[in-house]
Amino acid sequence: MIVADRKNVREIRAMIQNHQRVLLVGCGTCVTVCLAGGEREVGILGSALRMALRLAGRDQVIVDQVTIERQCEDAFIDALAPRVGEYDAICSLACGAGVQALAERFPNTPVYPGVNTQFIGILESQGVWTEKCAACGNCRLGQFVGICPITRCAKRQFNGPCGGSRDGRCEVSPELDCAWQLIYDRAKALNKLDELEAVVPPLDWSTGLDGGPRKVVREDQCIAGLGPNA
Amino acid sequence: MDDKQSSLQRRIQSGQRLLLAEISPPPTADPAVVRDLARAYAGKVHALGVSDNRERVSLSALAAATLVAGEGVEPILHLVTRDRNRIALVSEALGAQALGIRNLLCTSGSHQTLGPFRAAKNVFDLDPVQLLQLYRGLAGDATAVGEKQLAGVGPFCLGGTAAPYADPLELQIMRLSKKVAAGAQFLITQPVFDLERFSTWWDEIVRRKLHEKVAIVAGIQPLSDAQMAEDLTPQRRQTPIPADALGRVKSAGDGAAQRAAGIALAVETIQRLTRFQGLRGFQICADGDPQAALEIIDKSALGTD
Repeated sequence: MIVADRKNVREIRAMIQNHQRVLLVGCGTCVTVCLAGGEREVGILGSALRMALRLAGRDQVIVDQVTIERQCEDAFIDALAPRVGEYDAICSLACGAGVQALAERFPNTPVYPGVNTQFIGILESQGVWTEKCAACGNCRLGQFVGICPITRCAKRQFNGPCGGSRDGRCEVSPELDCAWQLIYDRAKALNKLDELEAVVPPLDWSTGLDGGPRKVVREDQCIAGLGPNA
Repeated sequence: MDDKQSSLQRRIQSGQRLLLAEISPPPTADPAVVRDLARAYAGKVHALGVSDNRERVSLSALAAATLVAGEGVEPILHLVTRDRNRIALVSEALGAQALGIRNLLCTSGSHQTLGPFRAAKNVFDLDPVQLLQLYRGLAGDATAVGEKQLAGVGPFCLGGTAAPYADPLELQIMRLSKKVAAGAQFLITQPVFDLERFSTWWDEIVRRKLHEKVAIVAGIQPLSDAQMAEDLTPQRRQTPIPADALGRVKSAGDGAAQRAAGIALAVETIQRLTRFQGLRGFQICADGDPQAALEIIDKSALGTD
């Protein structure tokens, strides 16, 4: 899932300081699961903002909240559309994709981000999420026994651990596992160490963000006769 | 004699012993600092490594290496993959060749979050193995790295680093052999303090006959500030130092006495390493204290013959 983290109330208050009617919009998908921007978090943020505004002598500012199932798909934004005209700003608690989807849909309404989108990752343990995928556009996990050196090695080493790997930890922080130690342990357990011996040549990064913003087109899924621009 | 070959390359190929030193360019634009360092080492070492923004931001390594060469000392230009993509790294190698520099040491560099510009964006377009492959390709089959053949490039004398103190040992050895396969002709180890671990690592090198395929040079660093070394060890910024060695330097007395103890320890380390058959030489790295490096060279009776 996409993992996000909450922004603090002070930062959000500063973003909306010139607005009188603000709609906080939660998202029922990834940010709900990672407890950053679902119905519960939107409710908490709404209360905190109203309290902060009251303390600042700005009780007249209206802060309402709503949560839709998925902000990154226009069909789900339909449910929101009739209400948006009542507000002079939106604060979206979805990931960066959701924030931009709302901005595209409502060209006359300023949209502010209510969370910091972090990464594609997993729930590691209760309350802890970790990054696993850099969305490079050309998955090579099969070459690295299922552990991604692009995402999980701080120096993106493809041919083995750097000189900073010690006791299974990364040179960047003792809190971080060395991805190559993990690759080694798993390859050894799978009896696949020999698969790591070949030199991995330079990568083609153009399949990722370095090639410019990406688009996935599935002609077979496009509306017949209209193509990708329907 | 092939004038395209650096003298370092000729020494490597003829199996001769290597004595190197390493300097870090200063964090200033003053060429005199680099020239003074180069002059201090002139005639004392076979080649002088010039680090590339290691631990701090400094005068560019290529400019410093050019200044070093201007003093009649053969430089080894270090190139980190942290700060440049393959476009800049190829360009840098062409620039180096144009300026008469053929020795290139390819390394990843410490992560930028550990240095003073922790907010910087890193590059890591290539890892050091891939950079070696790229540079060797430039001088030979450039199509191997997806580039067009460039005329008249190289040959370069390519090198890298070796990490006896990093884990996991088996993968470190595998990575080292990949560096050799990718074109490394010399490798300089992390600073050696702990001979026991070095010995374990060296046995593995010998078992795989890697020392016959690449010139491995041991890194030597005088401990001038035992407290700092002790502080850096838990952060894995310093290769492990045995407690007795650290204690010896720490208990030596004031700053001057500690410096002398650090130099004595380095000299002993060299003596003990001399027994490792197949080790090709030493590189002394004494940042900020070239006199300590020269003293070590002198006391170890290491010459440039």
